[in-house]
Amino acid sequence: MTEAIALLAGGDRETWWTVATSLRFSVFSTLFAILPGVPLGATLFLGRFKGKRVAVALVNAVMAVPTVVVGLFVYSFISRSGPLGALGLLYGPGGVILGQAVLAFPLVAAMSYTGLQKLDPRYSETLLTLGAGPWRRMTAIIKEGRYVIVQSVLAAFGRVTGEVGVSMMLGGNIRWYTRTMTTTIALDASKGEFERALSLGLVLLAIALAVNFLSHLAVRDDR
Amino acid sequence: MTADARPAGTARDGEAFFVKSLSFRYERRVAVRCEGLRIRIGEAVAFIGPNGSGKTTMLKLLNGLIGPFDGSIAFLGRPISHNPDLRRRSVYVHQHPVLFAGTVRDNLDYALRLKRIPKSDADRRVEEATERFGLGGLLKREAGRLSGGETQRVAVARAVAAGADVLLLDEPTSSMDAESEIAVRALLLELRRSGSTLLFSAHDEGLVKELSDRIVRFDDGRATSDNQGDLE
Repeated sequence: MTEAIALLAGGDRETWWTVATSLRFSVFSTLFAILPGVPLGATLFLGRFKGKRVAVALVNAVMAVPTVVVGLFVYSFISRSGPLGALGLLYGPGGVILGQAVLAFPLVAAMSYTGLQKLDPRYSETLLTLGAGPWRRMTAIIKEGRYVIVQSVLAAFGRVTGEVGVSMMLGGNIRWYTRTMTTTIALDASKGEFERALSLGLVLLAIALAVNFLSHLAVRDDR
Repeated sequence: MTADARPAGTARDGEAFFVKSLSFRYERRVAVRCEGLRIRIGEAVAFIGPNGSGKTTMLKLLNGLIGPFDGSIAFLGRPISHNPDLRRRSVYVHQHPVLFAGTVRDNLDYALRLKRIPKSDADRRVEEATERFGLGGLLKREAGRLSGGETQRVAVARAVAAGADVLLLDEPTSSMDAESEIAVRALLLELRRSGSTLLFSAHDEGLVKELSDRIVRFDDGRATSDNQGDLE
C-alpha cells in the first residue's frame, strides 16, 4: 500500500497517464451516451403509445447486458470485416469510446426515464394542454428535470470508468495508447505486480466516491 | 384532415365533443367507460360523482392528455389524435394548476409563445386577459407566491389568452377560501355568458346548479349522461 501511495504522490508518469486516459475516454463516451440517451429517456417519459411498457422494459433489460457482451457486439461492427471496419476504430481510443458509449446509453436512458417520473406530472400535462410541441416539451422537461438527468449522467460516468470488458476487448490494452485504469489493474494483478494496480484502485475508489457524493448533492438540490 | 377522415355519422353541427364506446384502462382496471356523450359548443357540463369515480380521468381523456384508449373521441368533428383544433381551442386546467417559474405576466407570455402568436397580437391578448380577469394587480407578482384562487384565475386567464374557448376544469373551486371561490365562480359565469364551452368536475352542488346546463354522473368509472341524445 505504501508503494502504491508513493506511485501516486511521486507523480509516476505512466500511472497518471493511465488515469488521464481513462478519464478522457469516460468523458467522451458519457457525452456520446447522453446525446441519444437523455432524449430517449424524455421521449419514453412523455410518449403515450401502445407498447410503452415493453419499450421501457427493453431499455432496462439492455442495461443489464454484461460489458463483455457489449464489447463483443461492438467488436462485430468495428472489426475489419464489420460494417464500420473501414473507420479503423478497433484497438484505438475511438473503439473504446464507442463501446463505452454503447454500454452507457441504455443506463442514461433508463435512469433519465425513471428520474423524470418523479417530476410532478402536472408540469408536462400543462405544457401539452397549452399546445407545446414535442421538441418544446422535451427541452422543457429536461430543463425541469436537470437534477435527475445529472444523476443519470454521473451514474453513466461511474459505470464506464469502472468497466473492464469493453476497454480490454476494443482497446486491446495497448500501453501509452489505450490502456485504462481497469485494464492496467487486470494486467498488473495477473502478473502479481500490485503496486500500480493498488494505486489505480485507490483512484477508482476516489472517483466512485466522488460520483456518488455529487449524485447525492444533485438529489438534495432537486428537493 | 378532410371531412372524409371523420368517424362516419358522428359529426353534428355545433358539436364540441363526441364520445363513443370509450373505455380506458389504468393498471388493468377500467378507469372510465362511456357508451356515448355529446357536448355542444357553448354548453356548460358538470361531471359529478364520488372521488375516484373517473371525472378527472375523463376530462384528461377529452383533452388528449392520457391514453391510449378504446373507442373514439372526436373534437369539432374530428378524432382527437392529430387534431390541431384540440390544442388550439381547448385547455385542461388542473385542480391545483401549475404556473411556470417567473411572474404572472411571464406565464401569459409563455403560453402565447407556445402557440406561436406574434408579439404584437400577444401583447394585445395579454392586455385583454388582464382586464377581463382582473389581473392588473397580479401581473408583476411571482407566480409561485399566489394564493390558490389567484393561481386558478391566472391559469384560466392563461388558457383564454392563448385562444381556448373550450375549457376543461378539474374541481375549479375546491380547497379555496370563500373570497377566492367567489372570484373564480364569477370568472366562470362570465366565461359561460361569453359563449365558452365549459366542462368541469365538481362536488360543490351550488356551483353545479349555478353554472351547468346539464350533468354527467360518474360511478366507479361509468359515465352516464342525463341526455338521451348522447347515445344516438
